[in-house]
Amino acid sequence: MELQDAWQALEKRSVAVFALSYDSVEVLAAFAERRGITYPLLSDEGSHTIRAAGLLNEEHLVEQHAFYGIQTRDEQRGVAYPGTFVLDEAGVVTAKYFEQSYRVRPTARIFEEFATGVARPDPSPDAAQASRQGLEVRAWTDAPTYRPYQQVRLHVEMRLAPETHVFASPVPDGYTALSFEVDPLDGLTIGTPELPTPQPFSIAGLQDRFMVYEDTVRTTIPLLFTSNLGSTGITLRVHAQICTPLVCFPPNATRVDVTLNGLDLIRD
Amino acid sequence: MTLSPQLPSVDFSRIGPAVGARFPDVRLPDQTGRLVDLHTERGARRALVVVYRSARW
Repeated sequence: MELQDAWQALEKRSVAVFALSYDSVEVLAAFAERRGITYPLLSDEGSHTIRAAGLLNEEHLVEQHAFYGIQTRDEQRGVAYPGTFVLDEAGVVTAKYFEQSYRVRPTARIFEEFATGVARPDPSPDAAQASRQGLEVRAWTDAPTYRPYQQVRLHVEMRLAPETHVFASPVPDGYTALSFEVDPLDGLTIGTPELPTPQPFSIAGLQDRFMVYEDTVRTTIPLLFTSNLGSTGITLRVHAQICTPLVCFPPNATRVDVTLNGLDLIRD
Repeated sequence: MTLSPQLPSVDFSRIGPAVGARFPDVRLPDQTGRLVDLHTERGARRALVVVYRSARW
């Protein structure tokens, strides 16, 4: 499990880690041995705790399985909705996190951020880079690998040269707004990036007020592979029209390529 | 006409302990057979509780 990768960092920050499933102690012992898991895997055989905590998936399991073309087996009854709970020092739930698709699994990095409350990571030193007209784009992912149905986040940092700006949507007529676009791939689901709030901008002598971005813009594009495509190039295009207070350059796209290595879905 | 199956939309706010509520007491054996009391083991530390489907499938 991804959690083992996050465990050391969490332990260092004094965050206790527990995992809970309806598996027997024997199954968990074999699993822990195979994967080198050191945090407690709690065994709720019979699903009494899962039921009491309101986590039992009775209602949706068969439907969820049907969606993936799977027949629910008897021994799968009693399974919990997979989710993550963050507890504070008093044991109070401060956040909980579930995915509509039970197949979607968070990465170690996301587990860490959940528990530590540190939101967006800084660019990794080996982030892919491109630049044009004083605009620098860096793109990187949480890990250099992906597994099917694991959440992959493509982080982007765009830096503008001093005294330049790009327009935010909606744009004045004839201008191009900043947008981030990932080239489509079969087997890749591309989420929508959330852009930061732009700044109002006006030009002396003109009545119009525009919304622009200056300095640094950071965003994250959620990605999800539905199969292992092997080594895969992700192409990000940053569409922007760079302007100085005096002149706007023609709109253009800055392309950054990030390569990710595919790993197989962990089924056990 | 066959209806293609749809992924049910689940309201997760009502699944499991609510945000703002104390996580329930959990006393269960771990993979070594040792009985673990979640809140005792946690002590005064914060915690991450990951509920997952199964180690087998």
